Amino acid sequence: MERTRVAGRKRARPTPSLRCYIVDDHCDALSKIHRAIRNGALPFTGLSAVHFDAHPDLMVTPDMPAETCFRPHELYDTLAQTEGGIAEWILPLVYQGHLSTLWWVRPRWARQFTDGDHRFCVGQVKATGKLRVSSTAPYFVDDRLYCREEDMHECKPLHLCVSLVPDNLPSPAECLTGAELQDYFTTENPFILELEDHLGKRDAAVVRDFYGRPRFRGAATPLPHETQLEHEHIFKTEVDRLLGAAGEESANGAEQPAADTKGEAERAIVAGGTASKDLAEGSPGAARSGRFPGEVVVDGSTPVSEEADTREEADGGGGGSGASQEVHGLRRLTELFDPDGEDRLLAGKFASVVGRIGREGRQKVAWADHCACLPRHLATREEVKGAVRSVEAFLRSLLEGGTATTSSSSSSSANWSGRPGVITVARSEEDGYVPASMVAFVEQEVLAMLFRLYGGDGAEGVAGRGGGLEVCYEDGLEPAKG
Amino acid sequence: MGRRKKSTKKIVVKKNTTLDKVFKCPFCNHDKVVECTMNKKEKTARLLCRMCDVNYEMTINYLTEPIDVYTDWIDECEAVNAVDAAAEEHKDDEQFIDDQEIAEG
Repeated sequence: MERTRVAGRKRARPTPSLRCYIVDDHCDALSKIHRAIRNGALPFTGLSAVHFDAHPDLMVTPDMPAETCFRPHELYDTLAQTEGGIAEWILPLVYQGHLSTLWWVRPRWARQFTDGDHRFCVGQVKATGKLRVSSTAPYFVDDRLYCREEDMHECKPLHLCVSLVPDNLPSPAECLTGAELQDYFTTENPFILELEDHLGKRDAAVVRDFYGRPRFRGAATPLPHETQLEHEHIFKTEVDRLLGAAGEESANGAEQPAADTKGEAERAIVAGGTASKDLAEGSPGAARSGRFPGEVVVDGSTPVSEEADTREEADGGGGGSGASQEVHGLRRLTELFDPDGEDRLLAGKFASVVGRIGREGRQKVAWADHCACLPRHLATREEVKGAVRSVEAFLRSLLEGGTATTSSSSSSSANWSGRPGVITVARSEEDGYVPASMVAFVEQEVLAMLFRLYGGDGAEGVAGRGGGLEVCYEDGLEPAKG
Repeated sequence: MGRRKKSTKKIVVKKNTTLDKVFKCPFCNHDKVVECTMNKKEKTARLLCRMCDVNYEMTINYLTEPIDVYTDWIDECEAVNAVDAAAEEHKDDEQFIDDQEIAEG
């Protein structure tokens, strides 16, 4: 006899405890959230998430077809194999239709988005099938991820709220997933760390500021999007030109002594015009403000713009020589920075650094690229404890009920409630975003806080609010020791 | 200030956990005889025991794995058993009350 049963709905299986997954790479949290959806701990749609992190992780894999989002294992592999995958795990959840509200609680040293509400869509570009966003925020400019909503289909909306940990909560309602990331509490920038090792702290700081301060990257006062894209193109072209020789030399495999070759001499000229020797020696204060906005002047020498003109005249006005092109490029770079402040000197300083750091140094700079300007704050243990207390007070107020307001705007009220459906903690040890010496300490502090809130491991938790926290380590991970 | 990327140059590809695709039949108790076929296009999945022919169907989504279909089936079986057991208990209780009333005259 054949017995058939048909079930048309997914029932939520009651889970006895609140799962907290510890992973190392941030993108590994995605499969854990999917698992929570599969087993009914989270609903399929309408998820809200609180994301504690020094990085918003709101990128998409530029070349990945949007359809890959609906082939989970292929998606996990893509994220694991892509060097930017650790920042590309949240927006797939939006496109898959699960996540609709995200509260990015940032530390004070992270400013990739302005505080407040951002509403945009994640969709599939009709022409290319790639995943894109309808936001023109500077965060998305480097990867040119913006696409008009009418040029995409299957658009899914995201309400992104950005803030520091709120001091006082008027009151919450429905928070279903929480992502606690250890680099919220203390943040290393592994790229700048490496550059400091190779170039020294002062030159690394120049590289960091040069990549971080062009106006098209400024989140606080964004330029019109077309201007952002134009500036980004100029920036990339000219930086590639400055660093390009490193790649060529690398491809040839020839080890050449720095500044001994014709090419190196030309770069030294670009670095500082006739006063390149001063800069090449790294003399402090060698560069100073020019007479006109957009000009770089080196001490006792000619402004870069005048020098470019002089060279162009000497070349017959065609701008044909490599050196004049490079000086012209430097002037174009300078124009991308705020003309009224110290920032306009950054292009000259950067060129100076590039001119004297040798092939390996330039390769390091090219490798770091814009990651040189990612947030960095090495917190003390006391600072970490203080930040944990603030987060605990915030989560406790969510747990005890009420409606949290995410910014001053009344339209930004989002409902967040009680107990999350799942918590993920990314250790960030292997990729170096949490200082190695702090990994164990931060993890222990975070877990102790979660036990105090949700119960388990001998802690009661907030009364009547759950069946205890169950900590699950990803395969290959063990509790951090130290 | 845009995306971050992995700072480690070596990208480690993690091995995915392999989930079961054949299961024990809760009706005939044979091991590894229930197979799952999933039609992602039509969003349906079907379990079939090749020993006793018992089967189960459910709607699925793109995340569903064969193990999810199987556990859903087990949950359904337990729910049905619980209802049957409750009904049986209720019937026993009624019989007991009837017997009492008869005994009391």
